[in-house]
Amino acid sequence: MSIFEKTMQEMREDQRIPECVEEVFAETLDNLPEKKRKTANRKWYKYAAAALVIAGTINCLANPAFAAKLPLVGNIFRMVQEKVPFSGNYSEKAESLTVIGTEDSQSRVEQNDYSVTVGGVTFTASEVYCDGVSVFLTAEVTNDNGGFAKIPGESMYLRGSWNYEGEEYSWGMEYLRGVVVDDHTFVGMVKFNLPEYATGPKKLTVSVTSIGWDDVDIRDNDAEAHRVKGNWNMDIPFTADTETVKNITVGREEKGYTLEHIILSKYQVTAQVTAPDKECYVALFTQDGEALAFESGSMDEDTGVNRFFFAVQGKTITKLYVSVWDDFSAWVQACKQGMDSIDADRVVLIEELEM
Amino acid sequence: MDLLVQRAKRQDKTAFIQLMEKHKSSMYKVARAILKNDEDVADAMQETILTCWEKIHTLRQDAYFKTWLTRILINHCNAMYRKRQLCVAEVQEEGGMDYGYCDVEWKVLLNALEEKYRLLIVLYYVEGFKSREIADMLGIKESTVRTRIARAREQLEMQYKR
Repeated sequence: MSIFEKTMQEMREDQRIPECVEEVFAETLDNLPEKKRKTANRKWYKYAAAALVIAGTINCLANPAFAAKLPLVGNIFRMVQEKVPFSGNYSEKAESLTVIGTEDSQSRVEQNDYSVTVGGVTFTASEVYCDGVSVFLTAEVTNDNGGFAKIPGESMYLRGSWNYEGEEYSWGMEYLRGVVVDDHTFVGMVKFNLPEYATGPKKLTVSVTSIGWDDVDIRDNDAEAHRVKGNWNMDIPFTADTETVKNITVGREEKGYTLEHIILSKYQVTAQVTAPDKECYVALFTQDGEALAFESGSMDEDTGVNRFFFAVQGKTITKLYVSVWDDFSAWVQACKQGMDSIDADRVVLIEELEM
Repeated sequence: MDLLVQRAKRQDKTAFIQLMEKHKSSMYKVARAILKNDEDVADAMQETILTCWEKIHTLRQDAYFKTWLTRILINHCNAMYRKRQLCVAEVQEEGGMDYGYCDVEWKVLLNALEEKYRLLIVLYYVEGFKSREIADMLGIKESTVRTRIARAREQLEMQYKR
């Protein structure tokens, strides 16, 4: 037997699994869902990564002085709303989940039913807003052991799942984007994309199973430097605010790709394209040919429905050019360089819509 | 094995868990051939388990369960890999892989291979897939699979001689 064959045999016989893998494996099998899990966030990684490449990182600075003037919980939108990718004025319309104390109450609420502490880490839901397409939830995370001052960027990482209308949705890894307030406190916003357009009062059940964050002193760039596991579960009531939302049915089909809907709210534009078993990417351009910032996307593998989410970021949109692509690199180039860069031979379809 | 697959397809959790346990080691090796750390491997395996649990009723031929499972795993690993590549694009990696335990000669050898060869070696020599199956799984030509396997082996043989 050659050395090569011997090594391959050793590899075949090696049944060892590292403890951290074993742990997740067993935990997953122990908690197999009874009902079919929805695939709203499938392909999350691919699209989230693209969002980073296209948009770059947002600039986000901690501002403890500002934070100190107001109670944190109940006022988090004000602190983060201009610093998150889906920026805009949420604070006027958001629903507070807390009974807020006075300004003298040392940045603390007097009563809060939306707060859970596990292992010294407290997750407190603060305010919620829904534009019919997504739920935007703000939260404060505190850690008795501190360490948040070493967070290098503007995000913490949440893992777990959420339940809406009786269906469970896998979260993968989700960003809580916001600001470091002090070494023990981080506040931010997390976004949930609802499976269908919502109206009226609804409820979201959030189950966070781990909270993670980076550390400037730990150059482990493949994963969070710190990750606390637990069960931070809570019900979040909200009422969809769809007064100013435009929901346009398009129904244009080309080469097996169907542009179904465009939904425009104050904060985001959502494009829905059905393309079973195909690579599918969407870029949006305003009346000026400027690309809207792509933020995330998802695909339901059962139905072939792709949804792409773009940030409005305060732009006045009177016309939208919707372009659908089957080529990743061409799409990235279009998103980065704007409508003038489009190579007509490489785009699947373009639709012009008056808004 | 086929009986377990049939039971799992009827949403028998016990059977499904047994199936996953049987393939755990294979899943780990395949995922490790693509991903660079065990946390990502754990996440990819978790997503694979959940996908398989949801979709197992769609599996047409029970005998191809392992191929089907491996294809799903590779898809999740590739998605994760792409994310990591893009997220850390500007950060230089330091050192080699994070192995997780010490006696890891095969991992060191695999790491010496180019990425496109690493997965093929595991699928072909360790997991016993045929070149036709690998070609279907990865969406490449069978002749390409055979050529790459031969080159991968050459590369590994060279490593031994150093």
